[in-house]
Amino acid sequence: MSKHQLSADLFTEADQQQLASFSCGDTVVGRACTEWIRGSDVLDSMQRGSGVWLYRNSDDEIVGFGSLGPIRWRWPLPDGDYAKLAIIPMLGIDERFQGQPPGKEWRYSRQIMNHLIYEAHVFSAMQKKPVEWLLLLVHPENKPAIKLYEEFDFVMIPDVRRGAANSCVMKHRLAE
Amino acid sequence: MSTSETSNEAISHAIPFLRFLISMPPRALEEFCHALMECSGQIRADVLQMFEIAEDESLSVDERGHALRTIVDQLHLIPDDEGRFGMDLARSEELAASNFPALAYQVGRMNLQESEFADRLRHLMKTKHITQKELAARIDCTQPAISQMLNRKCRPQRKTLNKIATALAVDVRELWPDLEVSEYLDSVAEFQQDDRIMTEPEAVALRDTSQPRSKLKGQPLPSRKK
Amino acid sequence: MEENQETELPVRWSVRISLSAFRDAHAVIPRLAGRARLRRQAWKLQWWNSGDAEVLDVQCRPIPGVPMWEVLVEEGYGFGHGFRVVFVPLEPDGTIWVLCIMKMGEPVTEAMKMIFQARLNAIVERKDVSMENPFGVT
Repeated sequence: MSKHQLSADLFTEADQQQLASFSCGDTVVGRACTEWIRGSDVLDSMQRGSGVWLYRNSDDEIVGFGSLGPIRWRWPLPDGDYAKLAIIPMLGIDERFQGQPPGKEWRYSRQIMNHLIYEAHVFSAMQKKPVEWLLLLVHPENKPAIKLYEEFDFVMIPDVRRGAANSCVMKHRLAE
Repeated sequence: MSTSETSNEAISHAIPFLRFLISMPPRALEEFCHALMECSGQIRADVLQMFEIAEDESLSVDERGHALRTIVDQLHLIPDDEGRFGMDLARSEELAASNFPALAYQVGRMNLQESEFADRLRHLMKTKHITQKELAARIDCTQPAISQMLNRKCRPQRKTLNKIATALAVDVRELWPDLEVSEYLDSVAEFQQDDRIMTEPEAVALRDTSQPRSKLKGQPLPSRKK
Repeated sequence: MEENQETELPVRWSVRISLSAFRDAHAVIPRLAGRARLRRQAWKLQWWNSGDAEVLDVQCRPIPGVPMWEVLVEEGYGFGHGFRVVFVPLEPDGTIWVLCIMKMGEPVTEAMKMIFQARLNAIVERKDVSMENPFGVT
């Protein structure tokens, strides 16, 4: 096994004590990621059914976190029926490990994305009707993230901007 | 109004309440009846009225929710943590922050944001030679409001920040660097809300099956704990 | 007085929140960070001048037909466009009671006014009850 292999463990509130020095950097998105996992938003997200994982390297350092949750949105009227979807509410990598390790095979961001897609399939398999779409929100200026998501078959939904932050929504059609 | 009309009305008012009683497990029913017996006549009448609102399907979900939460309060006879009815707003933050580390983190962030804002505002007012009174007049608020902001006792609303930024001819982020972070986190929270009706472009995108299914199945990662 | 001197504004009211209003906040803002920010807005009521249409930078207005007021918080925290904080000033006690937290778009219907009144009745009856004063003798 490579020394770059990450481990994934479900996050609990008690883990926040270990995140005192965790920082995703000083950009808007980086600060938002840090605040999300160290503050209360992660707990609210878990309350709504999200699973959150902490990723550690072989030296037991926290490399990052990822999350996956269900949402039930309604189709526009007159349909109005519910659609069950999976979303990645937030994921972040500590700034010390961003772009690491060199070489794509063991790149931490790729291991995390692969893990979240795997978990989305596990979640889908537990539903009566399989979930077709995995969605995520991305800051329009976060070009490296958009590029990464595109490599994992996420496609930008055109003409959709969410909230005052003008965030974009990307969709991934889950494999059967 | 005849006596029979009055009693018919009384019965119809009691129906939602009786329906609720029947649905309760025996232990909860016992506690509920006990609490109700200890109430004054006024509160008991209010409880019945709240049941009526909570059961009225012609009313909105919001109204019915507020009514149900009222009943819980009316039957909550034991004073709260402070030993009194209700909670002191300032103390409730302090108390909750001491019990919930995540709230303590949030309170710390808010305090820091307000203190940084006060410093930045003070500095800008000084360099631009603007008095509190002048700034208040420019943003259509009172001088005490500006004074409280400088004293870190008034967390400005977003619209106030915009007005101050315009009045001082600066970018709003110069006053409140965390603004975009908050907005991004707000949009993440909003994104995760159930029951939201999709916008038309979202619906079109999610009905579009021309996008092929991904071939990626992902990969599990080992657990450190295992 | 030096015009940029930061004078302390005297606190005029003790602000208390009923448990039902507290639960309203959990229902309308299922997000701790949002509730914490809303609390800081409602907190401004401690400096409210009776009858004023604003306190610091938030607007206040009376609710027609009931002796109650509302503060309009124009921030959504990801859950709408803003919130209304319904309150009642109890002059002799020097206490403002927060009766209800509503979404900005929620109308104040007759049913809502009954709810406010029921909450106020419970407050008036129990505000003086404490562990030390179990019968609420004033």
